[in-house]
Amino acid sequence: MLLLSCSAFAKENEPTDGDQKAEFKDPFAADSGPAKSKTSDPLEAINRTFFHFNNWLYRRALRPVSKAYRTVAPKPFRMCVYRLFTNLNYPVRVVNNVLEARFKSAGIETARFVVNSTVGVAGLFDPATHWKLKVQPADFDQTLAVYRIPNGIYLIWPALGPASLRGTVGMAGDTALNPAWYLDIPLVVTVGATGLKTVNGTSLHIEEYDSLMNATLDPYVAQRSAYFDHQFTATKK
Amino acid sequence: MKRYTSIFAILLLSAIAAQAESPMQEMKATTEKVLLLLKDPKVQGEAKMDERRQLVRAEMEKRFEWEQSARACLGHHWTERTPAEKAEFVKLFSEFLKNNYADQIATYYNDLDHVDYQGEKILDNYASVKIVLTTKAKVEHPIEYRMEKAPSAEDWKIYDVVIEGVSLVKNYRDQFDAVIAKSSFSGLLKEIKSKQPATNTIL
Repeated sequence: MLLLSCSAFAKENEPTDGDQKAEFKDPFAADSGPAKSKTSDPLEAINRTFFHFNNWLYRRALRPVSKAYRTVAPKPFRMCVYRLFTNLNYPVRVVNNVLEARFKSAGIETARFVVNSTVGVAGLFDPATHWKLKVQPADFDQTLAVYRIPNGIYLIWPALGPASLRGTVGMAGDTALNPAWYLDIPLVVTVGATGLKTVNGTSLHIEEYDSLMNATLDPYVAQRSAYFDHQFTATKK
Repeated sequence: MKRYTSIFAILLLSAIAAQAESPMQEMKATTEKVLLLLKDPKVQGEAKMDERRQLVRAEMEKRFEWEQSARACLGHHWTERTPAEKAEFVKLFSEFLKNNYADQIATYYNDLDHVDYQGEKILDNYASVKIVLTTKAKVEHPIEYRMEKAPSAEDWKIYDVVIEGVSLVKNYRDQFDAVIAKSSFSGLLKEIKSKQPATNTIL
């Protein structure tokens, strides 16, 4: 009887989620990314330097150029450019869907490419989505995650942005699938296309970046946490 | 008599069940109400931004569980705080979230094409509601609302929003951890105060 009473007393005083004094335990936490303790950032000092550099590059170069581009290029035109580059990224998505044994997704991607390249006028339009053929996202980082390669340390690359060690290998793998390497395309055209893709993409999200920076106290930590959580969710599919 | 009592009990239970909406139904009602308010012709245009912001803030006030959200964002630091510190943090944090997210919703609502309600999962008095927002550009954004219904409460309230896999609570918890490690809890309060609307600047 005494033992039962002690047990009841202990349980009554043990912090629970209903007790606002205790730390909150989210029952859905496992659905989100890794706990902070599991993300590795031994190069934080260097990463923060590159983070500030990239932020400076964005404010001094990319944002003003994107704003100027936005004034001369109406949104429908910029959305066509966005869709064109999405269509051209087909090799990355289809190869990685196959490597992940997602053959149905690879089939859908191929159907999308054919439809959008023809009916969609070289990918400028996206009739495939209207016909329920949705994008099947996949890249080499995701493929490596499927093969249980861990993320590794966190890195920030100048001008390129954040990537884990695995993500860096992923970026290299995706770059190798860029058609520019296999077709006889002059370097100046490839560089120009990359520039247009970057400026066009930025022009569609300028205010969101500013809003996000205002909504964070430590943008470096916010970006790192968001990167790993996003990767976790993308690789869960 | 026993038969009439049974019929009455069944009718009463049905009435109670009909009134107790599921978390997904409540989120749907809130989302549809906010969109209806924002699309009112009387509040369109840049000049009416303040009014739209206030409409969103009013709905956020009703649907969010600020104390639970703040408690989740402080993580283990919550247990170390005095009741007065907790109250101040909850007040500052809720204003911080309302200011930032009301702004974004009041700006980008027109980009929305439609909302698909995917489903809900209920664990005791907690729930997860998943939706997909599709923009006019046909880009899909999966969102999950994590909600709680306190024993004495009538409705479900949001304590976390997960956008494309990124949990708002987890993200802020990581940030607040870093700020407290670098300075202190008072330093964190000072940083949040510095982000109030009058001092918001584009970096």
